[in-house]
Amino acid sequence: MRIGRDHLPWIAGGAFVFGLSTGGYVVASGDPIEPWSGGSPMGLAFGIAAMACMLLAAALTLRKRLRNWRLGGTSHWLAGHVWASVLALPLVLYHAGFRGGGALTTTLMVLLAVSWGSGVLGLALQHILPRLMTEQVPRETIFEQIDHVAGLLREEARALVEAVAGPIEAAPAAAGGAAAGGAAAGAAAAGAAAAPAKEARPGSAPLKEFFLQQAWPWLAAKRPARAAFDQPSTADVQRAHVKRLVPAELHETVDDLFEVCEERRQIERQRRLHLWLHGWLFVHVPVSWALLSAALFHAVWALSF
Amino acid sequence: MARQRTTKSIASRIELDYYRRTHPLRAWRARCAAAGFVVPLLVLASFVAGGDEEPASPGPLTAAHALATGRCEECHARWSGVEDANCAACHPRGRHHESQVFDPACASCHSEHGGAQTLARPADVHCTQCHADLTVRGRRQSLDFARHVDSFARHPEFAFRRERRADPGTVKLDHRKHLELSMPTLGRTMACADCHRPDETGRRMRPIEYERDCRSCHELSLEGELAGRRATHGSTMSRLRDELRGFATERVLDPLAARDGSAAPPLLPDGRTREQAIADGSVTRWIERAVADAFDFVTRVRCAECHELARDADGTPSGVAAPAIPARWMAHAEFDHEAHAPAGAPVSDGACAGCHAGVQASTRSADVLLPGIESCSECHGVTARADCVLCHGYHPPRAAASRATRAR
Amino acid sequence: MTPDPAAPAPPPASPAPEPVALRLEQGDALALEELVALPLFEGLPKGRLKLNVGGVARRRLRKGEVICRQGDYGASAFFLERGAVEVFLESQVGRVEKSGGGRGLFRRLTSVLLPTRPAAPDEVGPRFIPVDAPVDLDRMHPVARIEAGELFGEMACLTNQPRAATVRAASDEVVVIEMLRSVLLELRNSPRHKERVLATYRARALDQHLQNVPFLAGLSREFVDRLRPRVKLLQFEPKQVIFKEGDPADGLFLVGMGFVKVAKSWAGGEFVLSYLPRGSCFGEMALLSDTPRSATCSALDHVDVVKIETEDFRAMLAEFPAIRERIEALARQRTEQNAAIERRAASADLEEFLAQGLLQAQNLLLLDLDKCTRCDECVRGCASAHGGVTRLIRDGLRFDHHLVATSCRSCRDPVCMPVCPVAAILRNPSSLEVVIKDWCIGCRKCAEACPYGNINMVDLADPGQARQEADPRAAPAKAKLRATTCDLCMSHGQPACVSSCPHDAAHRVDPLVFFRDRIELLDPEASSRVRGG
Repeated sequence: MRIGRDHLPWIAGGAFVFGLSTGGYVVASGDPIEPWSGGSPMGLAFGIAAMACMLLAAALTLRKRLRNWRLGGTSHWLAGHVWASVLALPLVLYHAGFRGGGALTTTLMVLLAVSWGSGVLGLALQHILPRLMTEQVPRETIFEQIDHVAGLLREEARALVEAVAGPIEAAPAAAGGAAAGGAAAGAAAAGAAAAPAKEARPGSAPLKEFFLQQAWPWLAAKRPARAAFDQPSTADVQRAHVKRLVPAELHETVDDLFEVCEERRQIERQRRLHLWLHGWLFVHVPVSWALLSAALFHAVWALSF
Repeated sequence: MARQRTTKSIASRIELDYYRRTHPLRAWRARCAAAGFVVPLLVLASFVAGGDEEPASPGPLTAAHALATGRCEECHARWSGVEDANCAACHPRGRHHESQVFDPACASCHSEHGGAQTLARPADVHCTQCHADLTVRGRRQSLDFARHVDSFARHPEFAFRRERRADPGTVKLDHRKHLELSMPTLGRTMACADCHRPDETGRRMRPIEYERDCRSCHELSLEGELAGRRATHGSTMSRLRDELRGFATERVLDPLAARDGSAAPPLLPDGRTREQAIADGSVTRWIERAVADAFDFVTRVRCAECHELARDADGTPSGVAAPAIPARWMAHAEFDHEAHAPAGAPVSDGACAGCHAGVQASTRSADVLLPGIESCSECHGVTARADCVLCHGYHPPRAAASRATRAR
Repeated sequence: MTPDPAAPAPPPASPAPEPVALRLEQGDALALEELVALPLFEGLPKGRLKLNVGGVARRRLRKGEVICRQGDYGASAFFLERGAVEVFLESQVGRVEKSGGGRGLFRRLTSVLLPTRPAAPDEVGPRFIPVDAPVDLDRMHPVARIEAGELFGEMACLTNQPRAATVRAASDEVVVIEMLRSVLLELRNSPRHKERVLATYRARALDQHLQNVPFLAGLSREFVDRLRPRVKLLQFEPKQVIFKEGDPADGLFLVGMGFVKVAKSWAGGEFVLSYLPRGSCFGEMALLSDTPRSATCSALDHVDVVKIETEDFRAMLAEFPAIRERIEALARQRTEQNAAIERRAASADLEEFLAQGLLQAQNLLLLDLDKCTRCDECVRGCASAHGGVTRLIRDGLRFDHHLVATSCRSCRDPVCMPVCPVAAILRNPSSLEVVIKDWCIGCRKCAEACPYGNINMVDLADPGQARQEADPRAAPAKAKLRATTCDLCMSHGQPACVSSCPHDAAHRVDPLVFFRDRIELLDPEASSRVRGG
């Protein structure tokens, strides 16, 4: 989510509540002698407000699960989630009087810090990484389909080379459940003739060799290792080299082959960028749920005293 | 034919039901989230089930209550907070004032779990919740006490000053004279501390006692025939006469021959023997005369030097007016002299006169030489504490207030 | 012996016929035997008729009953079997000051509030109002009559434009045959029908159309009578070229039905100069100056044009010299306009825009890649709203920093619609999105025809196992497939993809409005005309 002009109502509301709370805290905690108590009326008010913010933030899950209820646009819910969570931190600090307290409350502070910090980190990532991905991996596909598309690309490359160099008996890679079906689909996607050439075109042997030695292992690997195809610059050098080895009429095939490899490289890079963009959720989501359940327990337990 | 990328060719690569198969990333995230929610609940529930409520404590207890750590039920009653009955088990409470409108709970002023703090030192707000606009039972305005005290800045002038009370003491004391006198025995002029001594707590000054503070200079020594004898201070007139009679009798009936060292029975100046003098009543007459002279002397010279005498209808002194020196001027506040004198420093007149201004110039005993509130305000509220409990207390004082419970 | 169309068809000797499921809204469905027996459908292949049983119905109306109403969207054409109907406009003929489409709520409100002004008859504008019938309506007296044996409502049927006029039964007993598009298309292919249409045009519409053309004003009645039998009717399929830029000029054309697109080629693509509706005339400039054609004219949708040969045109010029002057003035004006358009269309994005076919789209799903976190909520939201089957694939080509998602674009000229053998793909009457009806037979023609892959075939027995149209694993004979496409979530209000996106990255937009400041090549009037509004 990018912070934009449409968040102004949330920001304004949050700033208003923050100002009010700060004023209230300054006034209520003015006496230096009396220790601040989260159970005092003012402290309790802050605690309830902070809990309300956390519940509102957690409600985002509800909206995402209950899609069919159409409870308003999800982007509004996410905006509410972000700004309510931002507000929850000062409210909790006011509720606690900036003290850690006992074992449970100190743990809650730690959980809050981690959850809040990871949330801010995630927000920052969402400002940077989408644009980065758009620029760096224009050939990106759907993340969950990267392996599948990689399989299709592999078969497409094979079909490309087979169309000029005859049948290739390279063993299919272990990965990719779409090997059989993928062949036809890959070929159809390529738009090239599906059937391999009956006999190899003259001068295609170097291409076939290059394919078997370099391109195929790289394409077939689950996680392509460092190779010449890793960088566009070195790939260009390779491409020029291969082109020198084959006659001019096969140059188009070479170009297509390298384009397939470039696409494979990009989707692999996409995988890594995607994990960066979504990895922080592995910290944020469980810690936030832990914070919520512990905070609920704390609220009930503390009120029972 | 070059490789074509069209929307259709791109879209046709995608398996249409990919989103129905849960990716391991999503599956693990869901598992971690579920665990994140459940684990804290389980951990905390195990604490509660095991009876260990220590994690719920929002902070350490004060040193005095440290034994109750982990034994929350000693003070807390489930769902109703800290009840006064739990505090009363160790702390007898007593009523603040019989006209107070409501009785605040113990925990409303004294909040624990604040670590090292003085529990006996609640914030002013707990006092001013009533004293800022003081009403008494029946919601009437308080008549006896200042009505609007919400901070030390608005503390009224002390009552004795405000009402310009005079010292009701009947003892005539001229502080100036005393302080100017040079004392040969001391080798210097008198100082405050020569008469005014602090009590064993160091807080207040002992009441002035004749024996301790005055007698060294103001002995009731007699002159004339009974010279060399001293009357006892503090007796009634009749007792005084008796004592004087005793002196006279001794004087008369003493084997005074010792005057010239011989052991012969003393002869009166006119040659009669003691027994003869007793028989013809001249001893009695002498005694009575000596007593009357001495009594007159004592009362006129000695007693009246400091006291007011009560007289009969015919003018005979019948007694000394009760001194009526107030033991405490401010009954509702505590003052600690020792706190105001730096420890170890000699008490000099300068230190006393810093607050008790006017002592050097005071000649009348009616002068009240205690400072007003502006003397306190020089420091309190500026650099020193000015909270209510520094001087005032809510609970009735215990018989022997120990140092440890002072609100420091 | 021609069977009387009004008499019920004789019952077949075989067992009782199955009841016919009516695919139209009203009328009596005609069984296969009846269809074959109709003289209208003489010569049509029986196999095609069999597929379309249920798509042809007979309606009987009394005088005064309305057959179709002006402004409604309809998916059927009508053949008048018996009786007569009258065609008229319900709205007052007038003009409202219009602002450029889509430029703000305030402007739209004020344009509604300003008073209408009835146009004086000799103001700028055609004298005859083209309607979806064999005859046009005279502006002065916009009522016309159609007799038995004529076809009307074809334009709305073929391109899903709104009905141009209201048609009401004018005689006591009126019988119409209503048919769906697939049937009409078959009909148009038969030579007998073509002759019929040409004859009707010559008799009814030619006069009006010639009078409509401003620079042809002044043609005498007698000249037109001479011209009448010499004009030819030509029919064009969607996208078919009428003449190309650079071709030698060989005639003058009048548009009888449909829209003709006038476009110039330009650096890798083409851009459109204008769209010409029924009653327009084109091709006169090159003919006058005897130069090659200056633009390519092609059919946007199903188009009928009437051609006037070169020699007839020269005769026209010889007899009526004023025409020549008017054409020359017009030529100067058009040249200036075209130059202005060429100057404006200098953006590099235009090429990409056209190459991706975005001009065709009326409603694109754009994912802003600067905001999109690739979380797939849009796909899941779509699937939730559609029984677990997504109508959207989150992959495709990019335009600028947007991903153009693979999801129905509500094309201006939906190529999926004509290829359906059972006319199961329709336009929603009020909101222009494409809808696939229940009687889809799963033949995959629409999925193959869609150039963007927006239509997916779903196995009804197991909706979770959605198949790609090119997936060889699907066995068409065994699986009961059904085509699915994005329906803009019309039943829900806001599209599920848009409302599910947590990052405000998914938007359904009209590309001409959204990218307006980058592609200024169409004036809003023309594009709104094309939309049928």
